[in-house]
Amino acid sequence: MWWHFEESEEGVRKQSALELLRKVVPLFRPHAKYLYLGFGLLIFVTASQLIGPLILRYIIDKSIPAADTRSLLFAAVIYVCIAGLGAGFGYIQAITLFKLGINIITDLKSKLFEHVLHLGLDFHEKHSPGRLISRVESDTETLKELFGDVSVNLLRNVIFFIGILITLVVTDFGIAAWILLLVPLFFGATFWFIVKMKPLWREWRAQWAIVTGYVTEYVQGIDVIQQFNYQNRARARMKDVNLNKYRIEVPATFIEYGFWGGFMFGEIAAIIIVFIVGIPRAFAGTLTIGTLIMFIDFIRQMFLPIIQLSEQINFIQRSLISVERVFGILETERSIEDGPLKDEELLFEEEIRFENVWFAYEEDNWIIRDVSFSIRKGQKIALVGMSGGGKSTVVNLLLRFYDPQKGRITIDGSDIREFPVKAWREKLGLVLQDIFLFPGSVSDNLRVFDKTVPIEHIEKVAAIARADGIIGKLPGRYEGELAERGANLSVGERQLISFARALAFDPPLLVLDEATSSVDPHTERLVQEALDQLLEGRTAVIVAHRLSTIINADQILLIHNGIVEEQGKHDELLEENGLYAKLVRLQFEEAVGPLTNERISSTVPRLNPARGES
Amino acid sequence: MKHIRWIWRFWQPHRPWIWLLLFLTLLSSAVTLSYPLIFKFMIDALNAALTDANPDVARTTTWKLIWMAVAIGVARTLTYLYPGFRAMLNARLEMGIREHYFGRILEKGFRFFQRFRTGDLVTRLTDDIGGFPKIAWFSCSGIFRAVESSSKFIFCMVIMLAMNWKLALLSITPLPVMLMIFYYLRKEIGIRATERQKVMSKTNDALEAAFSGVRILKAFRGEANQVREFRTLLDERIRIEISLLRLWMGLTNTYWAIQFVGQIIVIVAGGLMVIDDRLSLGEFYAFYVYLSLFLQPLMDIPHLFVTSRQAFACIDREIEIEETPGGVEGIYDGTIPVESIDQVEIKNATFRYEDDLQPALQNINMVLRSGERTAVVGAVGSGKSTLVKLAAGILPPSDGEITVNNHALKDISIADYRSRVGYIPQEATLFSESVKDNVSYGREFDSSSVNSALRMAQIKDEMHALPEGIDQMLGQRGLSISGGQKQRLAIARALVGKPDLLLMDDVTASLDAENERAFWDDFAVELPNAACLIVTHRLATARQADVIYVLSEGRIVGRGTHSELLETCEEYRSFLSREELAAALSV
Repeated sequence: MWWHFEESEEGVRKQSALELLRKVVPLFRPHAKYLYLGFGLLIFVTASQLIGPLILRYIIDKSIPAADTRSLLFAAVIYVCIAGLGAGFGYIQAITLFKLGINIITDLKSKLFEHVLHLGLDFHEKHSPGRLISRVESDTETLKELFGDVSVNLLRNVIFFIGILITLVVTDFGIAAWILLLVPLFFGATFWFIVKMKPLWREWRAQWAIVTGYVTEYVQGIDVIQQFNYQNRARARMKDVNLNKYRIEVPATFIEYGFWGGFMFGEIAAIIIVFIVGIPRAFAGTLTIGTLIMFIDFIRQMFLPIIQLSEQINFIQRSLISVERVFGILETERSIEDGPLKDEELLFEEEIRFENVWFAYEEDNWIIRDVSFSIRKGQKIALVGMSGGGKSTVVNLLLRFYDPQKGRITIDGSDIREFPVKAWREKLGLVLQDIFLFPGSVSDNLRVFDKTVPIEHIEKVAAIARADGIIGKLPGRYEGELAERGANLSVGERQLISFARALAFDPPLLVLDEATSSVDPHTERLVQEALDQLLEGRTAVIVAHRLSTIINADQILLIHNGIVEEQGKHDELLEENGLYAKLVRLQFEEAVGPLTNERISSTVPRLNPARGES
Repeated sequence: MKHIRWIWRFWQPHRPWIWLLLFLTLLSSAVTLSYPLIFKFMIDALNAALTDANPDVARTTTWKLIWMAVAIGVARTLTYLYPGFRAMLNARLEMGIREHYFGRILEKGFRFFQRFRTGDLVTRLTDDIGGFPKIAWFSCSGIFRAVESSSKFIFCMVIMLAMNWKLALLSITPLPVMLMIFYYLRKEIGIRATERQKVMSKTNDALEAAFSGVRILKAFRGEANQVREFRTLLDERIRIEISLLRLWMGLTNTYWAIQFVGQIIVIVAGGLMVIDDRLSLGEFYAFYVYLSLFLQPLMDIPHLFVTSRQAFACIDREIEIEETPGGVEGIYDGTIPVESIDQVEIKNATFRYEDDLQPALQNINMVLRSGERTAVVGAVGSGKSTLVKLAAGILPPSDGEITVNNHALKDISIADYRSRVGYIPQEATLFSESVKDNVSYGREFDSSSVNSALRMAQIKDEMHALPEGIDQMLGQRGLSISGGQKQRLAIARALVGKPDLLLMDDVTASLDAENERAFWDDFAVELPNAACLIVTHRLATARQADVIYVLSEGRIVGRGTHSELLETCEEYRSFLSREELAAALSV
């Protein structure tokens, strides 16, 4: 995959900010109306904040010299009206834009979640749940801030700043022109400073990462540290890396504050300019003292937005990486595609075949090589062999978690890739060895959140799967929350629940990864009964670990090194006297001592000899 | 109070700084608040000069005003360094706290690590301490900011009252009402914020489950339903977020209103006073500015409450580290020195990870003698690793005892004992040090000892082939090596001290059969008298042992040589069959 989700340093960005922006814009399009409303209000609200100094000037120049109480009150009323209106609109504007933002981001978040869930297992194997959570949750939250508070404040600052400049120019171009000359200087200095500081802060982040790295390493290796009496060295090393970080952090902070302190001196510089240019004119009578005060007041408010702007630009730069990651995932294509045929066209009348199937997780490292076999309807197929031989890959292919690179898997003659994935998986039920229960109620777990499955049905299948006894004992029964995802249940009990889950959907083909762990005799009996119920009348592909299951299978596939090494019924394979025979002999020696082939066949208790039709 | 005392403890080494910070706090408040005062002088001076209309006065006034401006500018620039000092102390506190708790964790036993996962501990040692606005930030910046705000607020009140007490009182009349509204809103915000926290952790759980259980979801076509469930949670979140925003807006508007109403009062009442000549124009403007300065500290103080809650929660998490027992405290603190280990005996030992759990090991009896090789076999989860850790002195037996040279392990110096034991854990742990330092690992060994250990571990040539040989840095900012190589380095680490007791927890994965044979050959030559306890899956290794123990569900179910066990022990045969099959199939 071209996309790397490693924390990349700034600079290795693969997409330009503009490109990213182009991807973001369509998200806003359906909400354009609110966007315009929000920004219209924003302009008004920001403009209304410029009124204070104007009122001040009016009072100082007009009302006070004339001792005109009425005009003073009049100014105050105007001020109250405009500022009050501004506050009211400000409230509406904030809510409007916030709702807009949160709705867009929530849509994006659930879209992202949906997309990730639909991405193939190849994707999920590469990205740990932790990393995906931070994509879906943290990165979208960063986007929320980026397109919410940060953008709004950025815009507000820009409008406010420009508003001040316009007001100054309109009031008195002579003084404003001097200040206008200062503006590029300040922006230039800010820009220069941000660029200069970047490597320093990057180094600081690197030092942070090293501290975290050492902490992780030492906590993980605590046994070794204690065993080799390394504690003092570890402490000393911790002190070192802490100090390294400190030595970057403190100067960087001082430089940062020092610069902004100096920057604020610019405010004074501007005021001095106003004095130098303004005072002689005040004496000449061409400038009122009210205007002078208004200038000072505006300058006082002009510099904060510049500092905030620089912070906001910084944030935007940092958060572009989140935008990039989010869209990187959204642009990752599904490796498993729906086929053109309709759901109803998928029938399972005769057989499922693997036809010369080849598969590799990584290029050219073939895990499955030219595997062919068929599963006739009603048959029980046992997959046996060493772990790593390819059994679970066969299961993965069967479930269409992956598609084969060569060859095909067919159902009644048609390639399974011709059908919608969902329709195909509907035919299958899966019981994994690693029994996964979701946080939520028992019934949600049994119906895998499909609320259309009625509770009566759930109760019925639970009874069939012998899980009703366990569920009955749980607080809240079917509607009770599973504590810690069923951690309070034993392995056997969890197994029964996962059987019930497979039964709930009544699939014609069951894929079962038999559990290897042993359970207590009582639960073992329940598991065996449930298993029989589960297999009854169904086609099944079983990754088998129990000898009884293997012997009762209609067909055994010994998969080894990616190929079907041996294939046939138990008796036939014993005759062959190959690897399978060896396996069985070994398995049986533990139970009843060395045996001949004949004795094995005759002494094995068949659980249900009548089963299997072929 | 508990939290404040906790913070105070970490302030101890930095006490002199408190005075500087306090001084800077006052200085910064004074400078900030003299700003409008200076404007008052400027405006009044200007106004006076204008009325006078004398050109000489005008020139001197202009210069006077410019110097005033420069002075206030310089002072302000300097006070901007004050937050820098705060940040410096934040960083110092951060280091102190991290080092303290890191040290605590280093001494913890198994029970502690049962309870806290690595990731959790890492968060507690890094982000909880150094994040914003967490412990370190709060302990200095948070507190001093609040102090600064209070002092600014008080200064501000004092100056306004001094300038014109009537106008000052008038302009703060809206304050009490607003404060009441504010406290009501803050309580509501607290409630909503907790709700939001809850629903956010629910979303996290949902995501975690969906991604971990993605196979099941896909197999059962639960994707769409899961997305719907998730959406329900998100909608709940939207609802809470919006109501939270409304409250926030209410809060900020309250603040704004305090300032605004005050300003209106100043404009009207102050304007009237100026007309009546009871207030100068400069004072009029100064009041106007003070009302906006007065607002900021008022917002900072409640901010302290919000961040304190967060910081205190983090502090609680640190305290939890201190208070959670490791399960080994005071057990292995004997003093009898040990020169060499001749015999280790495990006597009727039982071990439980938690008191109410099934024992992981039960009634284990085992003797490890010099020059004798003891193998342990058994299924996954049968207690093999636990047994090795018991012998290493990492885990203390819950019942029974371990003796070394006929002294109870409890009575002898555990550091001495450990220095004579070579422990090779199942999961090799390397550290970001050089190859050489990873092997000698804090002990004084020269290159030749390290090389001989590397040779025994069958990894010497590979390590010397690295770009910088055995001085090659590994790990962070260094080279990463394969899992097998890591494991063999861990073997070298255990061997470099020429241990009297070698504990090897299943290294089959890293040493292939041939390498393992070579390893044992070298071992027999170099350390003929060492006692060995080897957990293995490899038949050849087990076969060569002087005695084999078969472990099943925490109990010893068989003991003897290979041929004896073949006769007598069913579990051993079953173990063999699995391993033999593996061997057969891997041909």
